[in-house]
Amino acid sequence: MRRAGPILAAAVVVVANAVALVGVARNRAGEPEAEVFLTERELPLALWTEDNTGAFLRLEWQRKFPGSKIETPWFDRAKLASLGFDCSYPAEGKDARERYGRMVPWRAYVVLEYDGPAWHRWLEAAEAAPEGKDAPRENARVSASRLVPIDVGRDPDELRRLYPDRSRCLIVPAIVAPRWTLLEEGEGDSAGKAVLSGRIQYILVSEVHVPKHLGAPLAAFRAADAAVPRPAGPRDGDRPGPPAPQRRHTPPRYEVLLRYGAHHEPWVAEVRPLP
Amino acid sequence: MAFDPGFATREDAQRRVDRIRAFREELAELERLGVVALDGGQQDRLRRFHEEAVASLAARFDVDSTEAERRLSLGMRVASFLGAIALSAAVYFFFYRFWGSLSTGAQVGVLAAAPLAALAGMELAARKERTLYVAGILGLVAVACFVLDLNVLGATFNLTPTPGAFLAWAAFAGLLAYAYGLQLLLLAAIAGFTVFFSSQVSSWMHCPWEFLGERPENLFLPAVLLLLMAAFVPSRGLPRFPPLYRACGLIVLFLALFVVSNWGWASYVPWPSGTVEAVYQLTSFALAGVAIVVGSRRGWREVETAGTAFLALSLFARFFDWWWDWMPRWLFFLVIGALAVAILLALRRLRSTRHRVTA
Repeated sequence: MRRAGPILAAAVVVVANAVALVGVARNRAGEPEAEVFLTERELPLALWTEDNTGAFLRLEWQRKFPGSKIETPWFDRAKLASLGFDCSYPAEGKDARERYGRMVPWRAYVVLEYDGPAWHRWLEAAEAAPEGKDAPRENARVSASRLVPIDVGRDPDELRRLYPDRSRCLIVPAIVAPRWTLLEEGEGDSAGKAVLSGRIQYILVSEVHVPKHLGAPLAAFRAADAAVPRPAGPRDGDRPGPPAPQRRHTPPRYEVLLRYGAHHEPWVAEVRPLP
Repeated sequence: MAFDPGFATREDAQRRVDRIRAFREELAELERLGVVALDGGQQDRLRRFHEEAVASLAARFDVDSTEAERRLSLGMRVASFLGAIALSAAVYFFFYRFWGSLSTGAQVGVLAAAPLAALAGMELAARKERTLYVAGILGLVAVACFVLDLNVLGATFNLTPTPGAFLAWAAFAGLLAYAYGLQLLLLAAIAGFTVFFSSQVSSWMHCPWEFLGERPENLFLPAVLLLLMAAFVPSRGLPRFPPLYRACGLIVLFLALFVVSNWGWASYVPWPSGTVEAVYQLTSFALAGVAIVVGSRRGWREVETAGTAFLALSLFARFFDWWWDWMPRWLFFLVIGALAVAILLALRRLRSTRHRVTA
């Protein structure tokens, strides 16, 4: 063991790196699974610090349908059951809250539609929603992400068959879970009624790395952002630094060609400044 | 008579030196009391033999031959541990500070080369220094570099996180731990191993592995595997490894039991939370008792200590649940104090029973 240990350890390093790189090559081989031009609205610069010089874009999507207490109204009990969650217990039952609250989340695939009918419905609802903490920003038309989740399933191939437009519909791995909600006032006739729905907790690869040879335009924007005084927030204090990207309420400054491969893992293929 | 150590590890050598020192102190005391009296020739032969033995062991294994050396060694171990942590952090931050200016190919090359370079440095250091302080530092740095390697590779190529990385890290750290006999690296391997097997349980239960921490029952399998490894993984010449497996296995098991016996909603078992908690509380008491008895009978101090600590913690948690809200504070702490005394008496009884059996 004394002699073989270091050699075997070195072999572990080589094999692990090889496995990762072969996975990357297989993901990117052949025709992309999806290929879409997104803008800064959907891919804002991720937060960065001086201690980390890597460039990342954060995949931004609409998590909540405006004006509704249910985050994604189409992700209902039937859809949950189709994923395999046991939804047999009535949502109004005595133990429903604990029962559904204890259910483990599952890995599934979410379809994100870009700038399609779902986005237009979202925008209409946003503009019709009353002012309040749940209402989206008033400049949604200018800076909000146009990526809207429209479906979820366990089988990505089946989802692609249902949503064949590869330039508009991304199929991304995500974590989903049941959500038990008690509707309150303002929910019309169903006020006070318990509802079981699904929730997309997060998308697994939600930050996309930008390689150095594509990152020049982003570096300029980062430098410009860093020069903007940072508004003091509860966690920011008066510390100087880049503004949080989600605080931008201006038109997008760049567009990005984002590709997804066979393993539904993305990569940035091109970055272009917008006029 | 020439001294032949007849063993191959520093731990064995250190134990022999400690025995020699204790023997000489006891012999001096016995001579002072007049119990024994060696003649001059015997004393000379004994002194020469011991001096030769200690010198031989010190030359071959760099053991601590005096109490002062032992204290210094402890300080060196602490310093090397802190140094390893600091150096690993330095490597981590150094890479992140500059990786944006590297092309993707250069990033991949640097990432893969870093653990290999640290590994080569470790091997060189081990050849030059028998105490393995520097080798230990470089070993931890090598593990940190490998962790950084796979993490950054995943981030660079936007890979979906996989628990397989933890298996690779565990294998790497474990191989180095066994090659050089370094406990800290074995601890790193155990941590990676625990996360990997918990993630497998999590996947079997249809729970994404990223959520393995939300279901403490995921830890049961790795805990049992660690206890089995203490018994079945060959550790010839590495006497401290089996106790480390046992201690880690029990800590993982008891931690999982403690969480699920207090927060039953975190269980996979689809019973009401109260029922789940009650079942796990009983299991906790039973397993703590088993650990105390087995640890005491087999002379496994770490098992006995873990069992006792967990029993006390579980009892305290139960008493807190039952009595804190209605009992006066003084009475609550009085009961806790009385309980501590009762545990002490029970353990003393167990100890004296064992003492009689041994005698």
